[in-house]
Amino acid sequence: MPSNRRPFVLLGLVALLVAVATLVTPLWVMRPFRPQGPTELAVALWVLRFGPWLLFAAGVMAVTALVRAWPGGWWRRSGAIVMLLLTLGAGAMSRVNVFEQMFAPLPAPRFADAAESGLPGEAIVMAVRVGDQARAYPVEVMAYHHVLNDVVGEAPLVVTY
Amino acid sequence: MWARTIQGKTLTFHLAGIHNQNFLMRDEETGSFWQQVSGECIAGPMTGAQLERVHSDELTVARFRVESSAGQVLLGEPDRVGSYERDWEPGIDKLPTVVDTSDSLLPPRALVAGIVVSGQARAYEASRLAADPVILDELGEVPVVLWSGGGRMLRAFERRLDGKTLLLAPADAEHLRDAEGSLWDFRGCAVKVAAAKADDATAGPSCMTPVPVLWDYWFDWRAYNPETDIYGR
Repeated sequence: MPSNRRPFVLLGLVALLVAVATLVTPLWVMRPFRPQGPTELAVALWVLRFGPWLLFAAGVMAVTALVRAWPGGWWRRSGAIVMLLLTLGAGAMSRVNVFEQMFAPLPAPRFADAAESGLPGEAIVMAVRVGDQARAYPVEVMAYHHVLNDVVGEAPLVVTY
Repeated sequence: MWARTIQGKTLTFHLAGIHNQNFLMRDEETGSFWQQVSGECIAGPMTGAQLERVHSDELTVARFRVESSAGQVLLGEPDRVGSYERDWEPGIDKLPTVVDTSDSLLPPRALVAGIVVSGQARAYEASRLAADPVILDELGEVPVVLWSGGGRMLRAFERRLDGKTLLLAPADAEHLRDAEGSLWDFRGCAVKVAAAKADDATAGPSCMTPVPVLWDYWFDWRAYNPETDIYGR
């Protein structure tokens, strides 16, 4: 029955397409050594912001496709299950923060006294002072992690490099 | 370096994207996206908000120890030591850039120190600062001094105090001297006040106002400061 087959195939494919687009769009637009135009950057950030909703919609569509395919026998069920699994897989992968995989965050920074840092005297640090508390962030460490949420004195700061 | 309390909320930032070779951050609390170099929110509920800059200096560890003997130094993660590179810049220099600077005087990867004073942006070439460690300049009628302590260690100050412009010149390796004979240290503070001023009991702690310095590649500095000029060119 072609009239019955088409909707489930189409629905499953749309679900998969939405999940893959949610995964690929930000990675494609924001890949290194590529300029980002204002519109495409806005689109990529929109996809990142509303990714969970897009994936929820994709999941609902993929499950609906499976329900519709179910009475059609094992071939159709298998096809719908494969599309559902691919959709879920792409969705799960899109929730991974690739940038934090590449440059691990430092959620619990540790500090040493200035005299005991183990760094050579000529190593460069980013130095900050809030009230009477002074802290230094070695450039060699910040050039890897790039972002550090810290509290100096009473002041919550974000150190960036 | 930015204050991460804004509009009554304290935000927690994550690395979340790239915008023309500059990182974007995302905050956990509102899901907004922020440009790391400018502190500006470019997408999400807080679009248009601006983080407040916290003054920081690039110093050698040795200099930091001298100025802040009770200071603390961030430790790297032991299992990431292999990822930390002290001399990463020679490698970066060879990487391609995505912003066209062919209509300007400098190559895209020229290293510059940029400052913005009273709305005017100016770039100082690293080579120029190495040759000329003390530069007296003026931006939008504000007199400034750029003082290189060697390599990346550079400080800039508004060189005026109580409305009076300071004519500074190198005195020794650690000090500048103004026209009246007072000595100024690398923190921008007067350490030895000239006899004429020493009697003035009303004088508070005499330090010049620091100006934020951003070491950057020319292409990036220019992208965020399109009206910038280049010192001495």
